[in-house]
Amino acid sequence: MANGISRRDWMKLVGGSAIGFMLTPIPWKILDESAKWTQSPSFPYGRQREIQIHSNERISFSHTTCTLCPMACGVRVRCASERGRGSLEAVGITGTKGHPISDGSLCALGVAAIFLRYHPSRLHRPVKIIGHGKFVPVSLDEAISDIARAISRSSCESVAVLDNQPDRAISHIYRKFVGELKNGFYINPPTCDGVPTRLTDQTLHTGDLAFGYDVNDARMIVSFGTPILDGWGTQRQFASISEARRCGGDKKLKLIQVETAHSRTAQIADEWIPVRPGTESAFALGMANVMVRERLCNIDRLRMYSADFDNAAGDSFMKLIEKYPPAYVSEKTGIPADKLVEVTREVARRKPAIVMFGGNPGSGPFRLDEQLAFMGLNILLGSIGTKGGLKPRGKLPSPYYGLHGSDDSNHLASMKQLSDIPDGSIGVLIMDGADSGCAIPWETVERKLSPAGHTIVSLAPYLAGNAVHADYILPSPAYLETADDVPTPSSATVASYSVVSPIFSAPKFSVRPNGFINSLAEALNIRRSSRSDFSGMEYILKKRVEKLHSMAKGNVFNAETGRSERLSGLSLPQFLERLKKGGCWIDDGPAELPPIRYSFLGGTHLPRNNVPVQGEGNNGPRELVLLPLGTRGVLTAAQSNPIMSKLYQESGLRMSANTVSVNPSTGRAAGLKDGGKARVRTENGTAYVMVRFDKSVMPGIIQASVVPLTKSPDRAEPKIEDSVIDICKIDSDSTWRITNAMIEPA
Amino acid sequence: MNTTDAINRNASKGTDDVRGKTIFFFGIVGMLFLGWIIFPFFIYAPVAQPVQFSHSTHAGDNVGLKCVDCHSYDKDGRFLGIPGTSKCAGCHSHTIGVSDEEKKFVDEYILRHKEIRWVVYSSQPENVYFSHATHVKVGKLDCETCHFGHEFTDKLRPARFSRISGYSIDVSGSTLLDIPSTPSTGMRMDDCAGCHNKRGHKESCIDCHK
Repeated sequence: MANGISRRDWMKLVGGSAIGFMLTPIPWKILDESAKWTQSPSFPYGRQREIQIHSNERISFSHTTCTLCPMACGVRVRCASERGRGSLEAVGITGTKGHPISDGSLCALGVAAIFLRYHPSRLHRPVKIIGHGKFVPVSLDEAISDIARAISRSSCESVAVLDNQPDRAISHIYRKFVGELKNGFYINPPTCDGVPTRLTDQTLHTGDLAFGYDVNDARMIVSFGTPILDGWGTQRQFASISEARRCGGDKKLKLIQVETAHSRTAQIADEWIPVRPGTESAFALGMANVMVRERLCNIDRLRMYSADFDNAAGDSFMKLIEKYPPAYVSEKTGIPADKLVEVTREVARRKPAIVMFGGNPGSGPFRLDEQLAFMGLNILLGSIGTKGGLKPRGKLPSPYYGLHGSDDSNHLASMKQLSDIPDGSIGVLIMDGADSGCAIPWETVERKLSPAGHTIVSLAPYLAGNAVHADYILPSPAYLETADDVPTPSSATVASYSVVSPIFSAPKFSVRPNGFINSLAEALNIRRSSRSDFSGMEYILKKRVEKLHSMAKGNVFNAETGRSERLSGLSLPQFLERLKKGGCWIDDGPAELPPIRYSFLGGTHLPRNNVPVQGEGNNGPRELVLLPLGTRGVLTAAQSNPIMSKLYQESGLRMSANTVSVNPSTGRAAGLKDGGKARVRTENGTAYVMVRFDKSVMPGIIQASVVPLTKSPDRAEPKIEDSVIDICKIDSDSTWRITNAMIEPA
Repeated sequence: MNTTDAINRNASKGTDDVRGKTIFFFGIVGMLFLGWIIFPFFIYAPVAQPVQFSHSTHAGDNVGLKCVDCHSYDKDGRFLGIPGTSKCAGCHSHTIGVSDEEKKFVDEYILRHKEIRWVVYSSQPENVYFSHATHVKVGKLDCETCHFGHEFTDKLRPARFSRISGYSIDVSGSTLLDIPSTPSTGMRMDDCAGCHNKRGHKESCIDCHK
């Protein structure tokens, strides 16, 4: 054996080769290349190279409309498919060029929205929540049976649907369903984008005619806390406002931001008026005082068209604003009286001027009495219905109008605000899965629930946001998987309408909201004649499109050609086809303003002797004012994507969750360190935060960032601490702008 | 006798040990040779360009073209990439040199008004975009920063694609063993991020991922 090759020799050769093998790139390179291969859209049927090179027929584009917030931006989804199999994967999203609403622009949320389909908190089947973050799978039939039983039991309590994006076709289905119930409520959460219809109805008596802000034609914008340059409206509107601010001559736009917080809009506005917290409306009434005193408005006309502007008997606007002379307002707001007068004169001179007052998505809308003050300023400026002011927009037809040859829309439940619902009255709450874009502190909802017992159903695709409070989550299809429609954005002055066709298939066990409502109606034996109306989203959408087509006005944007056509020149199938393929109908212009009479006090004769000036009741040097701030659309973990995590968690470009900014003097007085940890206490609880010193923050203010928590939205992780939004004080009218708080080192 | 046998056994054992170690060592060396020398030729399949183009001839003193003379930008700022044959026909409407490649190019493409299907060295996955215009016009990078020495080449090297993933070696980088992953000479995300970070463009995901 000495000269031959023994088995032992072979073993040594193999052993040596094995060790040598591990020192070569062979295993590692093959592993690396195989991993890349598996990431190919064509895996396991083809090779990546075939996708990369000369692969035009494998790449397709689909146009649709973004549903992540109510702004209705046009999106173009780039899809990779594997030849002959039809399965699609989204590989990129861009804006649709020439789209009448967004014109090719998209926000950071929309750009990376393809990842929302793969959100770590996404649920793929109905679940029953059995504890904080813990759940068990449940069949849809079982869930519906339980929910129907809960509805049948709640004879004293009401059944409510909370719809975050009203006026969609599904919204009408909800309203129809709730309208069939004895104690049904259809609720919309507060919005920060547009002018509340309730406010315009109270001050202008225009019923349900909705108004938008004509920012494109304005030369002066006075914004009370609205983040106009930081997430308000579409990116196109942002570009348009920025362009108008840059241009010279008569068309130059000036932006004055009246806000306590040194927000991003305040930073880049032409002028920032840093009023004390909660005194924005006092500043508005001070401006009104100056306008009337210096006759910068048409007082005779106002007297003629308003019963409560100036009258001898009862409350009047004149009497109210008399109590807000510049010196008094200066004392309350901290803004010099001269500055108030100077700003007012400039606003009155630089017309068209518009007063915007949506508020910040993180801190929610203003109270109704505050909104009346801002609206009064708009009336004084003559901005109602005029170019560059508040303009009314046309109304979209209801899909139920004339569905059975008669006006079935009469059976729809009326639209309510959260503040309209009596506390402790809701026995069963169904929460739609769409996102309003604004924060909704859970306490605003929770206080409406019956303390005797309640059932909460969420139709969100994710176990995130307020869905974590639900008893059942019936996950609806995620973004790009659902059939839906997008009505006019609430800030727009011209009506628009888009249809959303699903581009990708939804998971097998996801629950379509209309299907759920149909099954629930069946389980509840709601009259059979109307039951069919709850099903078939395609049918409902088609009926709505039919009604729109019969109006024969406006233009239709064709996303594939990038051109617009007159609706009157299109047949119904053509119109439907355009809309299904990412098109958009847009009205010819704003609606006609009916003859109006102004009610400055909202027809309710509110006790307006003194507009409350909050933040003054501090008991000691350590009690401060907590101001939550956020950006629309990214206030819950449900809408976080990789770009959001870069912006908020990794880059420091935006303040991450539970981070507060305080003035260095305030921080030092409270014993805090820059970059240190602290406890923020309010009457609602305690939040643990990271402190950042910022000289631009007003002393006495805790400016808090409302964004998803940095920790992973791990479904198995119990909630162990409150976020800033959880500890805000909720007022009786469901607002939470100002909260007294204490801060101390943790 | 016993002593002799023992000596022989020991000698034989010593010889076997040396031989065993040699075989073991041969196994290691053989595999290292296979992995580092042979394997790279196996894992990447070369694909030759349809026409051999000499950058050195065109960019050299005789002709003196600049990069942007052929690789130009559109009016709206877009990079036009490799020029079409109509641009080449400006000079090469007929053969003006003596090379076989030029004759082939003129006969097969120019005279037939046919475009060349160049093999792309750097195709990225579909979710990645690269803009020359951004890097050159906004980033103020010279062409040579990335394509250093390209103007001195006489031939177009073959593109080499991975037989498994299909990615070009220009994308994945010529480094075969890259542990831990560090920016190298390819066009992987680490390479882009490394350069971006070095130039102060951190956290710029949507610059490339659209």
